[in-house]
Amino acid sequence: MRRTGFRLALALIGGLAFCAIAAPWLGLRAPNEQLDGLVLSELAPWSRADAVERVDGTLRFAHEIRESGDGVELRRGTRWERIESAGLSGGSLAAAHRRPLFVLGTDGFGRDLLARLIHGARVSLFIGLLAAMMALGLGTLVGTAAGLSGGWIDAVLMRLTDVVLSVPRLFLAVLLVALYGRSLTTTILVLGATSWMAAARLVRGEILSLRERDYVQAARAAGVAPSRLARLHLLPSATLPLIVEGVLRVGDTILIEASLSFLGLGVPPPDPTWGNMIAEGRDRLLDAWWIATLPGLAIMVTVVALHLFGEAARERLNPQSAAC
Amino acid sequence: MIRYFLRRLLVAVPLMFGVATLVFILLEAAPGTPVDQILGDRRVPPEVRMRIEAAYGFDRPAPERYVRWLGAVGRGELGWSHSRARPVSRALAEALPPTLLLAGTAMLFFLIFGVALGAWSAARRGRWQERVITLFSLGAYAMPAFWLGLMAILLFSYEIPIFPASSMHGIDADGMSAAGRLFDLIRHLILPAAVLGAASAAAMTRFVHAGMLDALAEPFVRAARGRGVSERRLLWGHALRRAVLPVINLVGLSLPVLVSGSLVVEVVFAWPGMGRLTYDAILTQDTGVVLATTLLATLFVVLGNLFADLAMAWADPRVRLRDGGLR
Repeated sequence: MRRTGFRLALALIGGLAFCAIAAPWLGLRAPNEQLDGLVLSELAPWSRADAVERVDGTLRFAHEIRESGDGVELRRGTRWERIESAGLSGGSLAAAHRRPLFVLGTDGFGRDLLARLIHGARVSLFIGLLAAMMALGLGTLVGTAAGLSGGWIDAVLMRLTDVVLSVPRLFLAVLLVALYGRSLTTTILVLGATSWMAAARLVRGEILSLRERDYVQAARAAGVAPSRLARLHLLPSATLPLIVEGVLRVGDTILIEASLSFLGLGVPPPDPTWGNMIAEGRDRLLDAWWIATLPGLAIMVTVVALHLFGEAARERLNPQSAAC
Repeated sequence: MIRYFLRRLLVAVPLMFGVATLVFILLEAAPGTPVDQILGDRRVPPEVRMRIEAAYGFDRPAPERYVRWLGAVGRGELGWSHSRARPVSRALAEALPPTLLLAGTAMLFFLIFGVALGAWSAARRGRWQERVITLFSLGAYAMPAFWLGLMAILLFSYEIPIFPASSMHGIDADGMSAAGRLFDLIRHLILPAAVLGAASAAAMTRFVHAGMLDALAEPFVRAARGRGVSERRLLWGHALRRAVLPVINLVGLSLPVLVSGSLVVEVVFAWPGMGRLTYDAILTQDTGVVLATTLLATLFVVLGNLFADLAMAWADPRVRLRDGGLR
């Protein structure tokens, strides 16, 4: 159970990362393009739409197509429009007729949801990764400074950690965005700035437990500078737990980013993130359930995978906790 | 016990003080001045701007403003909310009871479900029930609360319409009898409270599950089994009692999750509490309100942790004797 869970998680994360990185080359439709606001509005998942290809290679979507004389007539809504055979690719309806598939359907603007979901993964994972890296960096800095200096610096830094930790994260993030404005950059900075505390405590604890070891004392007696001491002797042993913390942090960050986007404080539209896709689908929930449902499922699966991966890694690092 | 309480209080008070300071620094560092916010896009001559600055005390040096800010926060004077057209403190006072009701119900919900499911899944260890519960709790933990809320509305207000989708009272609540109104309130409360408590219930389930398995491996359980105590009593009497004690700690830890969650869950269910107030304030750029709700939410968390510590010390004498409260 554990091992299969771990492998499944690893495969999921790998697949997701691949999709996110390779999104532009997967042959997806453009995520922000409003393909056809009339015919393609709120198409259910796994449905096809009728279209004819024109000589310039573009598609004209229609609710109904019929041949009439030397050309075709397309019904779009209540109106009929005419395209002459010369305007059709291949010169006839038979050659130009297309029925493209929309795997996950479309939203109210006629945008392809599969493309948006995968490009959303790109944005959401990118934000999560960057924010987690920032949190690890900040946390390592604060933790190392506190653990190495001790005394009042340690006291001040750790009280600061307590203070930031006691403000509910979403509220802190909301306040920061409200004060500093809304953009992709602020989102990343805010998420990083509100999640470094656990890493700081972890690094400080590691350093305190190692500080009195003989090899560290010896290095210190030999006159090794504090920064070098931290880099070469203390931090390496904190690396693995830090990476685990980082993996778990990415999941948390994706959740908080989704909440921020939902409140209208995340990445501004039209760029898709899973959070603002749910927010956009909210008003159409009862008529087009898939718009809000699919990105939520994506978030859930991703966070579960990250969590399983992080826990399995933690157990491997610390076999004692694997016993239970 | 009183000594312990005082010591914990000595930790909590500076913490709130620190949070107020942090918020002040964030405000100071934010781009633009508060005067810009008051004026909006209106263009005024410089002397009018200076008069406004003087009237609000923005022309004073930072340390003086800091002391004033602390004083104002301490007295609960948090300024004027232009989105609600009343003092921020009054807007907060109106929004607090619904949020307390919602969060309290959610807490009740996750305590009952978390402990029951955790214990039950430990009793079914090694069978498919355990796996199903583990999987579900993992999923519930990984869902964004607002999305779960939307799904709950889709399922239980639309497909199977048994619960109302939004607000705290029905539109006809005024004409109901007292019992009818209470029933109406409970009907409106169930979905948002369940959604808000779901993540914490999942965490609690996993926690109690692990605690039960730990306890079952303990010598005292083996001894009891050797004395012929039935498996059922072992589980529900001996092991559960041992596993439930640390739950108090988890209740304290789940408070930030509840408070943050109420922000989005109240928006989804149009619940007239603090989260909704904050959201409206965000939309109308009423920064003073966002500030105030952040401080209040933090106060919640700090007080909650204080109570959890005290409850823990009351329930387990080792705690108050061991670390005396000072970290």
